Amino acid sequence: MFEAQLATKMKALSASDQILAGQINDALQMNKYLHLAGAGGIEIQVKDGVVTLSGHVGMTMNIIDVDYAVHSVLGVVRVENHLVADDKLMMAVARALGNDDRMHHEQMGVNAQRGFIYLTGQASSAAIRLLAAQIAAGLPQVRGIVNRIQAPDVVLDDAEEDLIQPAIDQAVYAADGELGHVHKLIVNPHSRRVSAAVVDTRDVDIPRIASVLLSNTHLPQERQLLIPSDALRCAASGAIFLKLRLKQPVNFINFNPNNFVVPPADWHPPYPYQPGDVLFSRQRV
Amino acid sequence: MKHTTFIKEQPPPNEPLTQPPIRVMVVDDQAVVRSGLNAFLSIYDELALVGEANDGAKAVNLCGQLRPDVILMDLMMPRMNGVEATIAIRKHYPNIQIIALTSFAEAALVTEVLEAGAIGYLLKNVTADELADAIYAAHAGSPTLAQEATQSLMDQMRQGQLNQPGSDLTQREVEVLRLMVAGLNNTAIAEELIISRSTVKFHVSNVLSKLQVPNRMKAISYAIRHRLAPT
Repeated sequence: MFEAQLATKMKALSASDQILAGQINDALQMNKYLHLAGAGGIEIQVKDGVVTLSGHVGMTMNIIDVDYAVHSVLGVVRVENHLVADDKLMMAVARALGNDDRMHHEQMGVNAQRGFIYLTGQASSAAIRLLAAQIAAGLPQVRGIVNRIQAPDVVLDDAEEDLIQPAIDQAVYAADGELGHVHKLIVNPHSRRVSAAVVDTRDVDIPRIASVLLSNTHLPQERQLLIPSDALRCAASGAIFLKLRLKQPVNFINFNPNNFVVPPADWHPPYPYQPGDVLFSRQRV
Repeated sequence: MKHTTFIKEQPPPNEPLTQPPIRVMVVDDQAVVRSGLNAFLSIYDELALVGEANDGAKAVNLCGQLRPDVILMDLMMPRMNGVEATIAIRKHYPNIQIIALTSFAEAALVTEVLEAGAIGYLLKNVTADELADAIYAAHAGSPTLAQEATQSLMDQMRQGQLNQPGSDLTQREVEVLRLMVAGLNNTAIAEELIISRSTVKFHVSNVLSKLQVPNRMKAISYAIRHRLAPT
């Protein structure tokens, strides 16, 4: 049935990349199994008929199924499949933990969901708990770490569960008005999670955010603010909402580029970011 | 021009707004285990036990009739074991998710059944809530790995067993490799081991992957050199 549906669609295809991307999207969406298996997390790029797939799916078999479905669409010249499967990823993390001598005798659990790694279990110390996250974050396919490992004197933070990945150029709104758009993201290399967003305010009328600007007497010409991730909320509409108000300007911090560095060239940012999107805090390096 | 699109989450086609219970089938050769799992599942309104089977072959046959969403699959069973049943079910019914539910947490077994297409690996000491969570996750396409299975994979690395390609071959893969070395093709191997050609093909593919070689001849050569498949 799936093939028949694709065959019907193939007859109506045009050559344009945009239409081709839409048809590939349709081909994946029409397959209920792939939909359940995480087709919603797949990014499709098409250039001159060459399709690049990236993102995360649940199982290795999903990658094969997606590949098959995309190849079935008329007009596809070639498929570059960069999809990562959660089942392989969680096994790779488990092996990476086992490969480190310091993890001997530690009781760890690993699960994966759409590229995010959930660490569980019991560590002998807070340092080992952090080390486990760092080891897992060493895998470039990992999108971020949620560290639920218990350790003496460590109280698990509920904020750990909040996974947010703002998109570059995404609009940012304070509770009482527009603030700007996401310019860059600060990522913690030890957890591969976004720790803050650099928000560019230049495209917003000065009067609207005057209170914020006035409070930041050293705001550079770039008019960029640093918003910590715990103040960010991702809305279903695709915009980022802040838990802050423009009328409370004391909450806004200037972005000082001197406090941040460009990641090493051999470090791969977490999906879906590109190397130029991300900075490290100097304190974390 | 480069065009990029993200697939938007939409309800699957023809899906009613109210979700029906997740249809679960239990496969285990021990009646007491099936009965216990039945009791476990009965406390969750979102889960419905639709059938039971006491070996892999019966499970494969029942899939077409019962159409479960998720199967809880024991691994050590007579006639057809859980790994072979998983391969067969995933091939014919790719929309059915399989969770291995076993008493053993050996790393090779974990790897083998996940490579066969299972989405989860749990031990029989699992709590009802953990089992339910794993079923929900499987139905949503997310894998679950028991902590003991994680531990087993970690231990495997510790012991350095993965350092040499081929050290993680399963017993069945060693058998297939031995027959490859003896010069048998896939059809002959299938006849020898009384399994389907597609299952042989699956095992051969795993052997090549684990030996990190590109083709059959190189696998045979590697096996002879490293004495991986004694005749």
